[in-house]
Amino acid sequence: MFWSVYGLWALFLLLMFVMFFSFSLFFIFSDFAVFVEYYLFSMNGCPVEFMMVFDWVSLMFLSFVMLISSVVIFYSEEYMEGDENLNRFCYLVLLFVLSMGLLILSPNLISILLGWDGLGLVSYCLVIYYQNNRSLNAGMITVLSNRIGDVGILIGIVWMLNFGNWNYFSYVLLEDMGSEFYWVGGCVVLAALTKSAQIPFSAWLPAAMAAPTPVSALVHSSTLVTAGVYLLIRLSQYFSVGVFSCVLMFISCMTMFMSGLGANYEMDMKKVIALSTLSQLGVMMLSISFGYWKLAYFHMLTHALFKALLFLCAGSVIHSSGGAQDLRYMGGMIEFSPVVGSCFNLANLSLCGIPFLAGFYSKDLILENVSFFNFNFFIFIFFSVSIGLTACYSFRLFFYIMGRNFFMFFSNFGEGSIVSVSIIFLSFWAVIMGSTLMWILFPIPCFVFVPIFYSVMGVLCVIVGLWMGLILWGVSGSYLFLTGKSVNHFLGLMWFLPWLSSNPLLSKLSLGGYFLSSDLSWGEWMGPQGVFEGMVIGSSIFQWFQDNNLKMYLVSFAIWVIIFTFLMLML
Amino acid sequence: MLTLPIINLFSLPLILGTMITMSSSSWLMAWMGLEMNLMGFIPLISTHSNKRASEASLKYFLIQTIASSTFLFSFLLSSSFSIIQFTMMTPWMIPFMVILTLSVKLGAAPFHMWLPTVAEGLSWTNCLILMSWQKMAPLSIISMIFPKNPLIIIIATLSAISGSMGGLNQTSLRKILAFSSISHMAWMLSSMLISKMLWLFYIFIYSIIISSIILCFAPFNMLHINQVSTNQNKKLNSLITINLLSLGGLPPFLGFLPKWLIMFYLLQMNMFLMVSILIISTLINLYYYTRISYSSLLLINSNNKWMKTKTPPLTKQLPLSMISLFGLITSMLTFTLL
Repeated sequence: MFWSVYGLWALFLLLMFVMFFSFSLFFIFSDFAVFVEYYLFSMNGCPVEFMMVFDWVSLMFLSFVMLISSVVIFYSEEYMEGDENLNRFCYLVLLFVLSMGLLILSPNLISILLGWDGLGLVSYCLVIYYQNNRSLNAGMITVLSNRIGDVGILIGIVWMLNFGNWNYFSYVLLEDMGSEFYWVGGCVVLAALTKSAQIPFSAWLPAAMAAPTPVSALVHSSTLVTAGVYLLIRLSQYFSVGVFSCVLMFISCMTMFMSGLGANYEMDMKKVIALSTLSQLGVMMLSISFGYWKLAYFHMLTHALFKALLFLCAGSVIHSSGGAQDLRYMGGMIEFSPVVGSCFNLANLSLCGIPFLAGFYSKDLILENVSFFNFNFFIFIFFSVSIGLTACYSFRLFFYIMGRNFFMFFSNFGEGSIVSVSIIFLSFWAVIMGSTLMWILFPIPCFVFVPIFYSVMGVLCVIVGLWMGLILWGVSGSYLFLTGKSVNHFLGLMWFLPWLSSNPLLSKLSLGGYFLSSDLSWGEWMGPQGVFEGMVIGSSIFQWFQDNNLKMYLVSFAIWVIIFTFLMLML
Repeated sequence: MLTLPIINLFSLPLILGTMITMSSSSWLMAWMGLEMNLMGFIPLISTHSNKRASEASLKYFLIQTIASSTFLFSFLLSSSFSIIQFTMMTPWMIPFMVILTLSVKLGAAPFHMWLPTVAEGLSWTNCLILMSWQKMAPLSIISMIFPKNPLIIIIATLSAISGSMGGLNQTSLRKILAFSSISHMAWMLSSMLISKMLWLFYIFIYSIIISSIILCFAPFNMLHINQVSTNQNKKLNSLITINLLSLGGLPPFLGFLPKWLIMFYLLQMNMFLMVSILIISTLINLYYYTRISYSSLLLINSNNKWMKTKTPPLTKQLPLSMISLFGLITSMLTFTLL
């Protein structure tokens, strides 16, 4: 199995992971960075260049991307077995990794577009990999939502022309760039909001679950959706003071809350996981908006690991139940598939933030630092409740998949060997990486000085959430609380966000045809065609005068004579 | 030409009336010449005994007689001031009335509505007479008596606009040429402001061009633009195109020459607005002339190999067309050599 295309590429990516990870360790301990600049051409003194930065931030994220993609490619050999286009799938994933690498390495607003647009294109191709209508719709909503962010970056490029350079590293040391520079930050925030599926644009992430599950594990949990977070981490100094950080704070907080609630009502297993990803992205965004970019980075890495693991386990369930992913058809996993089931629980508990698992270190640190910060009660309550909700829907998932007895679709359940090996391999990293990263990234521990209640509040929230999940989903096993139809509808449909980003916008998008024609042919209408139309209208008015009786002509002659008389009298 | 004697009989007063008007020195003789001209033209219209011809003759008669009687009334009004001679000073009302009545007779702009409807009922030959010869007498009266009246500017401008705009939507060739004669009337009236020779020059060249066009249309019974645009006779098409472009006043052709002179002198008189209105409206004219012929000349190119069409010789059409084609160049060469 190592000699297939998948095995070889997985091996290659694993070696890349080892290389990048050791480089990143070296760079972080020796406090060292390498910049590579390819000067392409100069445009009126503004250099257009392809720039790559190798510092510990980019290298460590890149190494995690390599690790996860290696596992995912190894895993998909069995998952995608019997598919018609096996090689195409493999190369699409590799192209995705390539464009992710370009995105991570280039800190130039022009050259980042290469990776950024590559991500959009390849993720579209991956979402529509299964060729049916639903995938097409999902891919379309994905690519169009991401297009808004691309436009944000393009506007940012144009605005950055004012400053003569597109390397955003060049402006780190300049304290006072004037308030104009924050607009670059604003444009990048827009791009990040679309890429990371924050609130006005969140509809595409659950829709993109139409992709094959390994793709979801790589693209929609750990890499693509965190590209926006990564971009904001890189650019955090540009907007950490202005109004955009405030906007970002509210948006991310609402996203967390919305997706946490929605995940409690969702019945599609992959969509539950997607919504949990959304809420974790909200945590990262919130941390960035407070200026704690390092904490966000930490959470991004640990989240990448355990969320990819969660997706891989879910993929195993889906694979062995013949493609079913509705929670109501599931149950009794622990009987049939103990190894994958325990890895599933590991990832789930890590997502909740159970102490000493990977998610605990980063999330608890963020919560403590956020409570250390000076802000209003709204954010505080929403953040805590969202953390509780995470625990709640994690337990719901647990009860649905593990707890209940045998169900129809699990009749052919089992564990594939390759799938199990890759899941166990990744769960090893998910277990150790939480504490390891904390020791690596924070050689001096973060100083948080808060009362004891605030300090244990993260854990308390998790415990309350677990208890709620136990009551709501475990004991009753069904809808007990907030099951009025309209409430259910509202919360289960992500506050109607998918509707908002599909139907009302579609009618507006069709206006584009009108604007396009006016854009392409305004000269025609201002010039020849417009004059001709005017002439034809004038001619039809003359024709209307002409189409009359002879008597009317004579009367009009008399009227003209009177008019001329007055004219001559005035002369 | 079964009605040849009638034509011979009535073309005599037609010609004679105009000549009397042009050479008379009193109002009354001028009026009488106009009436003779009218009495000569009505039977010529009615030689074609169909409904449209008689309708056209009736319309023409009504309009012309109303105009003539008003003309008579206006100079009788001037005689109440005991002024019968042309050369005497008159109050503003007299030239005003006279110009208005004569422009009704001409078919100039605010009084132009009868001209296309009458032209629609005429044969091509009568159209030619209506558009060229019938203009002579009223124009000569205006040029002899009140050549620099400000009312002429207004009428010329209105004629230019309505002649160009009115012809844009037409599909009948006779109506198109009628509207084109209205807009040419604008140029002739504006040339009155310059000199007494210039309008004669203009109408001479205009008559040459319009005769060669009508000589192309009439023998082939072309009455609508689709008859021109689907026409397969290449030589005829090229002649029609050349003459129409010349009529529109495109520079290498003869039609540009009088327009050039008028533009030149009007610009010397600082009448920029009027010149620009004239030029722009002539451009619209040129557009609808081109629309007549371009599809036959450029777009449709099909020859039926199984059908041998008998191309009639263009011996009649050629000489005048040659004049309108080379007239400008020849005259410029002549002037240069002289």
